[in-house]
Amino acid sequence: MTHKLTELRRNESAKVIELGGSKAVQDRFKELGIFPGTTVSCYAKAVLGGPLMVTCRGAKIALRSHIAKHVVVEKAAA
Amino acid sequence: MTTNTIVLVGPPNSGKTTLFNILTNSKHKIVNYPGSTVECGVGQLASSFTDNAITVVDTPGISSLKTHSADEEVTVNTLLNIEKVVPNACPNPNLIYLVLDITQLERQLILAKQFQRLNIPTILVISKQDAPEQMDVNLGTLSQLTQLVTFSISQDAPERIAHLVSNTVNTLEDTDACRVDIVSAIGDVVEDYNWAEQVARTTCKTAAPSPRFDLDRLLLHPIFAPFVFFGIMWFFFWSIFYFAAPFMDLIDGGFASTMEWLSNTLPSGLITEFLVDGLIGGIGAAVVFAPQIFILFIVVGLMEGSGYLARGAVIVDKPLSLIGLSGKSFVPLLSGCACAIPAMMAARTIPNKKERFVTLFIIPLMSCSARLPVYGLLLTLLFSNSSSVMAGFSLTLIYATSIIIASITAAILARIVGIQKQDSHFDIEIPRLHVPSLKNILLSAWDSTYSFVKNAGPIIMVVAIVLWLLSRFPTEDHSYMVMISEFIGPIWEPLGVDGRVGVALLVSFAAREVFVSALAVMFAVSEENTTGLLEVLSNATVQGTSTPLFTTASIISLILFFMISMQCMATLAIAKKEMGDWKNPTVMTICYIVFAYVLSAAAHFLLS
Repeated sequence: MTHKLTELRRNESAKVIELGGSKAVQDRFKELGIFPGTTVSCYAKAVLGGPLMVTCRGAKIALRSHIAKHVVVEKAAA
Repeated sequence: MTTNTIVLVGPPNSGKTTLFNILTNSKHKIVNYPGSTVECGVGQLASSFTDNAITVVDTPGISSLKTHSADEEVTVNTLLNIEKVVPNACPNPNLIYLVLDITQLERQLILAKQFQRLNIPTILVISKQDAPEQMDVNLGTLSQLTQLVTFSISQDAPERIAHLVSNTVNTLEDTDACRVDIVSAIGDVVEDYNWAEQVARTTCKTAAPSPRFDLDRLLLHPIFAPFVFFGIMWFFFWSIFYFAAPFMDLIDGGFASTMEWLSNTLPSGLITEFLVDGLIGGIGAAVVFAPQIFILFIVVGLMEGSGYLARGAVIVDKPLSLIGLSGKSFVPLLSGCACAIPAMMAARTIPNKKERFVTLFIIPLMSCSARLPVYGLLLTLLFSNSSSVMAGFSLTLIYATSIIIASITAAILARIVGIQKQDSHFDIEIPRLHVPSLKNILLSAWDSTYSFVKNAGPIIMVVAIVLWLLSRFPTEDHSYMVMISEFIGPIWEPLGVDGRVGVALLVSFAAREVFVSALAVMFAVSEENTTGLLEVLSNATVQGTSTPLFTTASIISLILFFMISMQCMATLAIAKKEMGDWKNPTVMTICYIVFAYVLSAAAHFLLS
C-alpha cells in the first residue's frame, strides 16, 4: 500500500515508489537524492507547523509539506 | 610566467576551510569574485610544504556542480575562470582538491563522479574531522572506483596533509588545453547517486550507530525546539552587546584621549583642529563598531560551524512563509539586527531570486546596532534617566515594531513581485552537528571585520570630515551648517524638530550613529561630555522660540523616523552591489525616507 511522504509517522521508514509534481519539483527531489528506490525515513514532523524532516542517504533534509506530499512511498514490511 | 593554482572544492562543512588554513598557514585574504560580493579565500601554499610558488583558493561550499544560488555560482565560475581571482593564472585551476566528509560519502561522492568528468586534474581528499574513530575507508579501492587519486586527512595527523601536498603539487601542468564543460560534467544525478551508494558501501567501514544522545531530538523537537531557539537568539543579541561594550568603550576612550593629547600637544590652530576633530574623530567613528561586527561574526560562525543555523532556518520557515519568504532568509535577517552590510552579503545564499530581492529590500528595516546609540540617547531624554526599566521595555517595543513593519513590507512586496507559495521550494540539507573549530571562526570573523572597516570606514570618515568642515567654515558662529539648518528648518517642522536636529538627521545618512555626535556639534557641547549633551538637549527649545524641543511627541516621532528611514550610505552602496543596479536601491531609499517622514509627522501630529 502506498502513502504520501507526509503521511509517515515519526521514525517510520519507507521506500520511494514514485515522484509527482512538476518537472522542477521532481528534478529538485533527484538532486536531494530522493527518487524511486531510495529509502527515506521520517525524522521529525512539522516543527512549529513548518517543514517535515526526513533522513535519506545519511543526511537529514527539511522539506515543506506541500512539496513533500508529491513523494509516493511504500512502507517497509513490518 | 603563469601562477599555479590549487582550488579547494567541497560541500559546506566538509573540512575545506580547516585544510585551507593549514595549507596557507592561516595567511590569506578574502577576494571578491568580479561582479559579485561573494568571497573566495586566496593564499599562498606555505613554504613548509613546498618551495614552489602555488596559490591556494578556497571556494563557497557546493553539493553539486549544478548551482542554485549566487554563492554556489562563484565556485563554478572560479573553476572556469580562476584568472579573475588569481592574476596571471591559467583560466582553469592546475589542480583541484575535492574535500569530502567521510561520514557523508554515500551522498557527497556524486561530486567525485562529476569531477571525474570535468577534465581538470582532481585529487579526492577524504576528511575525517571529528568522525567516530572506528570509521574508516579503503583508499585503494576508493581510488580505483572513482578514478581519482585519493588521500585522507584528519586533524590529529598533520603529517597526512604534508603527505598529500608532497605527492600532488610537483606534477602541476597547465590546463589551458582542457575543454572544461560543466553541463556534461553534471550528468545524470540518479545514476550518480546509485553509483555513490555502491562505492560508499564497498569502500567505507561504517561505525556502529553512536550511542551518544542525538541532540537533534531536542533541537528539532516539535515542542521544545522553539524554546531552545529563543534561548539561543537571546544569547545571540546579549553577547553582541555585552561582549562588545568593553571594547567599544576602550576604542572610544582611546580616541578621546588621543584627541585630547593631540590638541594639548600640537600648536593650536585650524590644522590641529582639523587633525583632531575632523580626521581622528572621523576614524574613531568608523572603527568604533568593529568590535560589535567582530562578535556578530563569531556568534554567527559558532552557529554556522556547529550546524545550528540550518536548524534555525527550519524553525522559522513557517512564520517566514506567511510573509512570502522562507527559512533561507533567516540568516540574512538575523545578521541585519547587527548590521545591514554583512546581512545583504548573506542574502546571496537564497536561491529564489524574488525571495532574495524581498529579503534585501527589508534588511534595512531590521534594527541594526548603529541605531542603538541613537535610541539610547532619545530614550534617556524621554524618560529623563528616571526609569531604566521603561527604557528597556521601550527598546523591546522598538525591536518588535521594526519586525512588524518589516513583515508588512515583505508581505506587500511579495505580492508585488509575485511570489507564489507553490514556487517556494524551501528545502535544506541539515548538516551534521559538530564542535566548530574556534580557530576557523576567529580567522573568518577577523577577515570579515577587516573588510567591513575597509569598505565602510572611508565613507564614515569622509562624512565626519565634511561635517566638521561645514560646522567650522566660514566662521564657527555662522558656519555653513548653521545656514543649512536655517534653510532646511521648515522641512522638519512637521516632525516637531528644528533645523539643527534636521542637519543631524541629514548627516546621519553617513552612518546612523553620527546623529549623536552631530547633535553635539549642532548644540555646541564638547563631544567627550555626554551628560552635558543630555542636559543641553533636555533644556533646548525650538530655534527662535521658547517651546521645548524634545517633547514626548517629537522624541517618538524621531524614533519612528530612525526605525524606518534608510539612512546609511554604506547600506545603499552594498544594496547596489547585491541588487545589481541603482534603480531598486534608489526606489528603496526614497520609499523608506518618505514613509518614515509621513509616519513620524503623523505620530507627532497625533501626540502633540
